[in-house]
Amino acid sequence: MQRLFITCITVIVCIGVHAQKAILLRGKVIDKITNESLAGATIYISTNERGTTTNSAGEFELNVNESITRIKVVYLGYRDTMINITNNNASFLTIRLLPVYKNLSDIEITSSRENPKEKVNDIQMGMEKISMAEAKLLPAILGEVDILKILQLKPGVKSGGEGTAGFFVRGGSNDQNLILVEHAPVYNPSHLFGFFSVFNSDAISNVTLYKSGFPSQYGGRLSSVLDVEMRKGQADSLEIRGGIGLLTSRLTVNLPLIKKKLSLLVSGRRTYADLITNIVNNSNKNTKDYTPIPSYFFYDLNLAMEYNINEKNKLSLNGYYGKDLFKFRGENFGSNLLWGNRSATLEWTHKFNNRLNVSTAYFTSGYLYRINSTFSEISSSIGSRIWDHGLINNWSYQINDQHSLKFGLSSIYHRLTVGEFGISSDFTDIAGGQKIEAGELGAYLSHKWKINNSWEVLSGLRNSTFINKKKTFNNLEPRMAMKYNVNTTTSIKASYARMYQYLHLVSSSAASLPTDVWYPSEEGIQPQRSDQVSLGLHHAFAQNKFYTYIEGYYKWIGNAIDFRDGAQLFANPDLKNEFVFGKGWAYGVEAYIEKKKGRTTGWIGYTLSWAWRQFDKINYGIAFHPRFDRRHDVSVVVMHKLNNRLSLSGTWVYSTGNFATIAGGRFGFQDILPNLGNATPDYVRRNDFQMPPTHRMDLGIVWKLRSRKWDSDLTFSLYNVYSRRNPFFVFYDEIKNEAGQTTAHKPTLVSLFPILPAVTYNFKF
Amino acid sequence: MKKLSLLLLSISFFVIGCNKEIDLNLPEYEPKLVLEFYLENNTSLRCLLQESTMYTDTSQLRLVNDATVIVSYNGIQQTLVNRMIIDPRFDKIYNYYNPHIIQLQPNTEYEVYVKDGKGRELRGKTRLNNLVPIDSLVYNFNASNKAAAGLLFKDDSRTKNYYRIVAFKDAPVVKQDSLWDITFNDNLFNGEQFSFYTGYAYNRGDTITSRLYHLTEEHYRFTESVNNAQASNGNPFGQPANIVSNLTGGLGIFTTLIYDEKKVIVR
Repeated sequence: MQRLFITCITVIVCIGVHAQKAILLRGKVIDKITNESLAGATIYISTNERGTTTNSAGEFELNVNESITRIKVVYLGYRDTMINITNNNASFLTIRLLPVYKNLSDIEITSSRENPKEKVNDIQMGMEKISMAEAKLLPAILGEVDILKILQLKPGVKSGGEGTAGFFVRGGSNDQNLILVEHAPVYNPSHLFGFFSVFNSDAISNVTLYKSGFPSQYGGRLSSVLDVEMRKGQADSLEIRGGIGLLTSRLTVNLPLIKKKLSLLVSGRRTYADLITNIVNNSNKNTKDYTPIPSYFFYDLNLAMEYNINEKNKLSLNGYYGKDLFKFRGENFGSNLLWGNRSATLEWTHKFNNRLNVSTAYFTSGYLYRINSTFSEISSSIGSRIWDHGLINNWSYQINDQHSLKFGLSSIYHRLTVGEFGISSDFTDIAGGQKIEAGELGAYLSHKWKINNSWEVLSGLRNSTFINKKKTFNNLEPRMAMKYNVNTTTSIKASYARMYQYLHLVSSSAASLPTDVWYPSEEGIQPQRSDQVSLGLHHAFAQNKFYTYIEGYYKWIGNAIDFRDGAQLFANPDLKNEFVFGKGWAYGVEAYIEKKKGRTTGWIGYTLSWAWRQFDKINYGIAFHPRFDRRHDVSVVVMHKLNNRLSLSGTWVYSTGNFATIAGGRFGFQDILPNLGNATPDYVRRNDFQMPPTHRMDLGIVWKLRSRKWDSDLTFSLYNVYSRRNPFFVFYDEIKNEAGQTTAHKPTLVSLFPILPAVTYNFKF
Repeated sequence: MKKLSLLLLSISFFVIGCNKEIDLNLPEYEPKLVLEFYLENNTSLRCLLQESTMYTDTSQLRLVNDATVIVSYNGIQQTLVNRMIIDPRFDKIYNYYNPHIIQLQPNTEYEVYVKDGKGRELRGKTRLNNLVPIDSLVYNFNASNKAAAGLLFKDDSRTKNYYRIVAFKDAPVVKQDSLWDITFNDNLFNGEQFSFYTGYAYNRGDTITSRLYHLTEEHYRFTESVNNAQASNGNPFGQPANIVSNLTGGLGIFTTLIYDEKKVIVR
C-alpha cells in the first residue's frame, strides 16, 4: 500500500514537466484608510478574464504574461482599481483600495466577497463560503448572529431541528462534519443544548464549508469540512467593538502591541439570564414550596495574536475557551451540568520565495462534559472528555503557470476518557471510566493542472493511518476534480472523494447534545468510509451580477455506525459492545441562484435529496431514513440596502418534515413490584413517521446611528414572523380525569419558538 | 420581585414550548399478544396475558381471556386456566393461574406456549439463574435522625451478571413511593463487592426489606427496553427503541425469578 502511495506521488509530481515563461505577480490588498488586509479581493486581467483572489492575509500571487501591463482589483464595498504593472512594482505590489463609504465596516459589505466569475472558474465544487459581514445583515433568533444557522440556508445543509445550530450535509450525520478553527478540531460546536454555536460573531472572519470534492489536506470525517477562520488583529490602531443583546453581550478589543508588527485581539461574550434568575431565587429562598428556577449561562473567550516577523515569516497564536453551566438546586436534589471546548493553535508561516510557502502549526484542542448530582447525602458524577495534540505541516508550490502542488503531513494524538463515573456517600466510593489513547497520521499530495483555458484537473491522494494499542488502520483516500469551461461564464465541474472517519460520536439524538461522547476505531470497530461523486453546472450572468449552479451527488457510506436498540450509552466501560454496523447511501440535487451585486442581494436555494441507512440489527434489517432526511428544502434570502444607514433583510425557509419514530401501539407493563403502570410504547419501525412540514419567515433591520465619536447601529430581528408552530417533536400525552386516572392518549405536537422579536445594539470605537 | 418572577416564568413558558394536540396519520398497528410470566420458587403458576392496543385506543388494559397457556419442563406440562388472581401486597393482577407449586431446578429448560382464540401463538424459553446471596443489610443515620439502608454483595467474576435491588418499608401493602429500585449489570464492578444505599428515608421502628434479584439476561434486557421505551415518549432527544422480548410471536417476558431477601428493623 505504501509503495502504491509513493508511486502515485511520483507520478503526480512528474506531471509538472515544463515551465512557461511568465511573470509571477505577488502582492497584498489592503484598506486604504485602515490598512486592514482584505481577504477575498479579486485580482484579474481584464483582457482575458483570468485572475485570482487574495488569501486570508490579503495576499495573492498571479502568473501573467510578459505582455500584460494592467490588472484590475475588485472588492465589494470598495472602488474598483486598475493597477499598472511596471518593472518597478512587479516584484511585490501593495494595493490600497478606497472604501465606497466609511462607516461601521461590518455592514458595508453587502454580499459574499467572491465574484460570480471567480466561482465559475474555481475548480472547487460543493463549496459554500459565508463572511461574518454578510451574516450580520441577516435576521437572527434572539438577535444572536450564528454563522452555523446561516450555513443551514445553503443547499445541501440541513438543520437538526427548529432553532438548532447542528447541521447535516448531503445525507451525512452531524458527527461526519469536520469543524476546524485555525487547524484545531471542534468536537462540540454548540452552546445552550445545541441552540447556539460556539462561534462568536465578533471573533470570526468567515467560514468555508466543503460538501464535496474535499481538498486532500482534509480528512477524518465523511461528509463535510467546515473551516472557520478567526478574525485577525490589526497592528495599526486600537479598536473596541461590541454589542448588547437580549441573550448575550459581546466585547472585542484589538490592540496593536508593536505598530505594524504585533497585534492582539481578545473577544468575549456571555449570557446573563442567570444573573436575573439568581436574584429571583435568592429573594424567594424563604418562600414555602418555592421551586427555584434553574440557572444557566455560557461564555466564550477568543484570542488572536499575530506577529509579522518580516516579509517572509509570520507567527500567529489563536485560542478559544468556552463553558456552559446549567445548575439546578432543589430541596434534596441538586445537579450541575457543565461542558465546554478549549483550543489553541500556534502557527508559523514562511515564504521561501515567490513559489514556495510552508506553514507549520501546533494545536491542542479538547472537549469535556461533566454532570455532578447530589441526592440526599449521595453525590454522583458522570462525564467524558477528549483531548488532542496535533502537528500540521502544509506546503504550497507553484511550479509554473499550469502546475501547482500542495502537500503536507499531519499527526494528532488523541486522549479520550469515556464513561467516567463516580458515586460517593457516607458508605461508599466508586469511580471508574475508560481511558483510551490513539494516534492519527495523515500525508497528502495534490496537484492542480491547468491544461488549457478550458480544462483544469485537480488530483490528490491522502494516506491516513490510525493507531491504537491493539489495532492499526491504514487507508488511501483518492481525490479528484475536473472543470471544463464552456465559456468565460459557464463551467461544468465533476469530483470524486473518498474519506475515512476514525472517531465516532456516541449519540442517541439528532441534536448536538453536551453529553455526546466520541469513541475511536479499534479492533471490531472499523473506520467509517464514504465515497462521493458529484457533477455540477455553474454559470454567471447578467453582467456578472448573478451566479447560479446546479449540482447532483451520490454518496455511499461503508461501515456506517449506529447503536443497538436500547444501548446503554452512559457509564458503560464496554461501550464498543453497543455499536452496530451497516451501510448508508444518499443522493440529491441542489439548485442555487444568487444575486451578488447591487442594492438588493441574496439567494434562493433548493435541495431535493434522499438519505438511507441500513443495519442488520436495527429495524429488522430494513433500510430507513435518518431523522434529518427531508425531501425538499427551500431557502430564500434577501438583503436590501435602502440607504447608507438602513438595511433590510428577510429569510424564508420551507422543508419537508423530519422523520421520527412514533409508537403505533402500547401495552401496560405490570412488572414484579409496585409501579406507576405507565403505558409502554411499542415502536414498530425506525423513523416510519414523517412530521408536518416546517416553514418560517424572519425579518431583520440594521439601522446605523449618527455619531461623530464612534460607529454604532441597532439591529432588529423578528424571528418566525407569522408565528408558525413548527414541529419540534411529537409525543403521546396522557389525558386524565378528575380522579387522576388516564382516560386517553392524544398525539401532541410540541413546537419551540413562536414569533420572537429582538434588538441588539452594536458599537465600534 | 414577585412580579418579576412571574414575568420571567411567563417568558420562559412562552419561549420554551407550545403544545397542541394534533391529528396524525399514524403508522398502521396490529395488536400483539403480551405476556408477563415470572416463575418463582415455591409459588403457584400465574401470569398476565394481555393484548397491545393502538396507542390512541381508549382502553387501558386489554386482557386476553380466551387463551391456552401451558408451561412445560422435564417432560411435565402444566396448563394454566383463565382465572383472575390478585396479589394485594404488591398490587398485581394475573389472569391465568395453576395452583401447582413449582420447585425450580438448575439446568432445566422451562418453556411456555400460548395460543389465543384468534389463533395467535407465543413461545418462549428460560432457565434458572443461581442465587447471589446478600452479604449484609445495614443502616446508618444522618444528622436529621433519618436512616438509610445499605445492601452489600459480591459479584461472581466468572459470569456476566444482571441484578435488580429493591428496598422498601415493609407493610401489608407495599407502596410504590416507599420503594428504592435499581436494575443494573456488573460492567462497573465485575468480580468486586458492590454496595447499594437508599437515601435517608427511614425512621426508627421501620422494618426495611431488601431483595437482591439475580436476573436472567433476557429479563434484564426486557426491563431495560421497557424503561427506555417509556422514557422516549416525550423526550425529543431520546432514541426510541424496540421492546426486547424473549417471546416469539408477541411481546413480553417469560423468565425465572430468584432473589435473596433480608430484613432489618431500624432501632
